[in-house]
Amino acid sequence: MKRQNLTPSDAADTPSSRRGFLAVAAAGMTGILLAPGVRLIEIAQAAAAGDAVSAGASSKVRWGMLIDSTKCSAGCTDCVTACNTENGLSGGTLPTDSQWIRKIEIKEVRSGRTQSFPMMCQHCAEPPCVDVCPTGASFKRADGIVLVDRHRCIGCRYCLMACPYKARSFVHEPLTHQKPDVPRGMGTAEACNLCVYRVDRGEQPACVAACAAAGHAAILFGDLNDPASEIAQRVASYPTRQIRENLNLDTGVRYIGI
Amino acid sequence: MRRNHMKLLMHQRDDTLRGGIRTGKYSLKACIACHASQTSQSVTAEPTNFCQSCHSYAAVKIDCFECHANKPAVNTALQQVKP
Repeated sequence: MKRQNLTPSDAADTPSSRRGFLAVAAAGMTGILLAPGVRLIEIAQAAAAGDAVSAGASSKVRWGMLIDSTKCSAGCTDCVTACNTENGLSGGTLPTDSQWIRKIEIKEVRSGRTQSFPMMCQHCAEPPCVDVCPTGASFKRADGIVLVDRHRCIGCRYCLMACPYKARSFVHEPLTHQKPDVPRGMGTAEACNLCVYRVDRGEQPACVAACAAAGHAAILFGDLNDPASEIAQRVASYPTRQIRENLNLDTGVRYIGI
Repeated sequence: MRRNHMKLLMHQRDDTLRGGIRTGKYSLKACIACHASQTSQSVTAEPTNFCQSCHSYAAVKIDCFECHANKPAVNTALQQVKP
């Protein structure tokens, strides 16, 4: 049998093509736009972006959100759209489609008063999904963000059952073209990750940015442990609610006006 | 690296996901950003691409890219310039 002539050294890019890459990259920097070079320049830029300093999650921080339902506009779904775009979700509404954030409309029957607000993973301090996970895949990061370690997730879906907020979804079908920042795959549970890679970069989650861009600014994101932060001051001075407070989960996502 | 990359990646993925350490050294995204092929823009799409070249030679299946993107992020602003 003839062995395939594909040793690692043969398969690696040849020196001449590497020189070609550098030449094209240099040409791009001097302002000359070459159609095949565009992608190469992107690759070089992506490499530079990876060198940003990140100290890692700290237990001194507790990330949280304060959602003001009086500012949230009924019918506006900008936060949901932003989440789907940011994380590469299909945005479909089939029972098998992943949904990390959804808009809820509630109505008081007697007065007819309606309210609208987004619901997502509440990032509990005592998360039931972590309690029930048989493999330790579902975990709470030091800074309070509840995540799924897809390397360990076996897809048992206990966490979907345990979550009182119906925040978790299960990926039923094979996925392609995932976002580089958001790995997702078939056979694993997933939920709102509070845009953890954006938070680690010092940015706000996508839904918070989208809500502010839409002019509502109904979602406030910040460190609940830092007394100087706006979110901690507002939680200290306004009556805020946790959904299903009676479960004593100490959620990181809090609401005003419900 | 060729011999021990699977152990290093196993260690660093926990530091990244659980510890939130996302510097270039710990970032699979940063690996892919440099090692992606010029022709396919991927590390696994063709048998000669960076990861696939060794893995097809050694007949070892890669599971990483069932969840992780095998291509670097595309800068949409630059993409619009393309003719």
